[in-house]
Amino acid sequence: MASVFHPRSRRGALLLAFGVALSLFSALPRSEHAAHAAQQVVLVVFVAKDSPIQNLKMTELRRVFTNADDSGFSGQRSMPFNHTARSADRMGFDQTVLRMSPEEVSRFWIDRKIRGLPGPPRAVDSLSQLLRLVNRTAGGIGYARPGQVTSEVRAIRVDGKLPNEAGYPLQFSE
Amino acid sequence: MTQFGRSLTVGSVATLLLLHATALFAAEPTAPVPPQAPDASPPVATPEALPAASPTAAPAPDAPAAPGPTTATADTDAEGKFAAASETSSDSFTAGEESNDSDSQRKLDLYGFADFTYQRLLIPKSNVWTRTYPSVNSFAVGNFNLYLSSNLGDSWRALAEVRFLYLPNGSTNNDDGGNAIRTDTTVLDYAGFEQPIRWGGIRIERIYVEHEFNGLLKLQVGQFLTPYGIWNVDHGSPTIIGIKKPFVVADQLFPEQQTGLQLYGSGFLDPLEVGYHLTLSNGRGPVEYQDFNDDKAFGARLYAKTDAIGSLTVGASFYRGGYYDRSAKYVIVNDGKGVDQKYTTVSKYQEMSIGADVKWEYKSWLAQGEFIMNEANYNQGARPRIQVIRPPQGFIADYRRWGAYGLLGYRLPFIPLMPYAIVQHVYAPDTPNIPPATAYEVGVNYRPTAAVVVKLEYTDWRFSGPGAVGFGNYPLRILASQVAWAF
Repeated sequence: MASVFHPRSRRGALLLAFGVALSLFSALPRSEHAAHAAQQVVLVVFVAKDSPIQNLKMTELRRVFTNADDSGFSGQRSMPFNHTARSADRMGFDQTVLRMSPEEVSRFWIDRKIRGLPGPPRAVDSLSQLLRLVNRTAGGIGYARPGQVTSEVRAIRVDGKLPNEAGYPLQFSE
Repeated sequence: MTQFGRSLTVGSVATLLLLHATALFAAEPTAPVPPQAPDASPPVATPEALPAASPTAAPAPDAPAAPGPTTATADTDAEGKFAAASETSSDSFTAGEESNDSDSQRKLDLYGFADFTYQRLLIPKSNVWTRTYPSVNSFAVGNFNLYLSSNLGDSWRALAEVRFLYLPNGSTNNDDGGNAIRTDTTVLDYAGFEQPIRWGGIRIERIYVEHEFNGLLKLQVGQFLTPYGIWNVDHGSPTIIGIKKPFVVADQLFPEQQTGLQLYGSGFLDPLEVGYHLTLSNGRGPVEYQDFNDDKAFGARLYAKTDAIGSLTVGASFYRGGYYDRSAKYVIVNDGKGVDQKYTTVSKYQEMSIGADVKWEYKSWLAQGEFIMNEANYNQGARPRIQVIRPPQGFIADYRRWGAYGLLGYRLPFIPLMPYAIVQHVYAPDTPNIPPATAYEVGVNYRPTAAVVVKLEYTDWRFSGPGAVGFGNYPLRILASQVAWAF
């Protein structure tokens, strides 16, 4: 143990300190970004107009978008449609609903696929396509900002609340 | 620690830091992608569509574009294919989101993982383990596993996983005289100038087709990983935290794979998910595709999971089956008028395994543990000779082996590094050369990107006796490093 203070070990300690400094440095831009952008973004969860779903709890929404199969005897699975991986709304949704950062989301799906489980929900990079897919797919479910949602689909409550009601949980700071 | 050990440690830390620095400067920004072009025809939220959406909740109208999806000109082409060109993705796995799981498009999904390991024993050269422990002081590619997955439509799904091996080249078998005979697969390559090359093997890890009747009932037929515990299902080196499987998992107290049927399903009663697995298979045996005595094995797993306090999973597993190995010989029967096969039993026993597991992920903490027990009872006259280096060579007795491990890890907030500690214990009387042993392991699991994992691990094995050949008299300390990646 005395060798901790040996010059050779000092080199290791320096490298370690360098690594910690790098990590702190890498965290800085995110903090700055968070400080400068404080706009509150609300996301609406929507389903097809004829869907029986009226309300989902956040826990249920999390399970839908992690491809957990809660269809029970009915076999009627929800079919989630995501935004692309690095879009702002996707990252906000993942952080708010899945409680995961983009890196954690990547880890989550890699680990799942290596376990042999099905992969992530389909990601769609076109709003009109997303709306149409949710409208036409049995069990389809998606999310977007309120101004982006059309009459093709129907907004649902989350934890019993609509997007303009106080305490609506699906919002994040951009 | 020897000088080389210190150098290796420093080198490993340096490697970790360099990889992190590379990831830091080369990685794509984590900030959101720049705004895209505005929609060709901005959609309108009608009262019918969004009765409660207030103007204040909508994004600022002067925003140059919605940060989410935008209408694309290729909508019609992409419709039904879900394969629209995506913007940058963090890795190939999330890029795969753009087109997977489509019943209308039977696309083969290819992915996999591999790992590269270097390990060194921190013991004197006079220690017997330096000559008997596998792959010491060597660079080694251990796993190269390829997955082939496809949605076949109408709730059918297929998955295959194969592992490419250098084996059998280099593997050793002991002859009666105690000589370790090494397998050499060198052949001359006719495609070139008949230069010598070595061939390797392919191991089928699993291959099955699955049909989903509903959430409570899914059926797999084929070869599958035995659904028990945590480690056997996590399976891949990028996914598991440590470098080596705990001995109790590696020693296969449950069979690692089985060929047969698996029923499974789960239900969710907020906040609890309850799931089950039922298996019917050939069981353990010398040949994967043949059950010599039609004695089918069955197993079960029951688990409960909740995300109410982090993510907590508790499970219990069971397996019961028979093992039968025989030799066969053609014999003349009916006074020379016919030929038949005569069997001689080599080994035959009934076995039962039980296991319990718990996994708890809370914030940045991970705690998991498994306890597994397996017992075997041989049939009369069906005990094989025990493999010993030092006589007398008796017969294998009935045995009960068991083991357990516990893992505690913490993922640091600013650097994707998880220091972890593992304690494991194993009691395996079926391998008398290995006395009861306890191992203490500490390590770090560094994940510079989601698909790459760098690990460094120190293990100290303590034996509670000498064992049949005295291996337990020697200390065993291992320093291992590994890079594992998913692709």
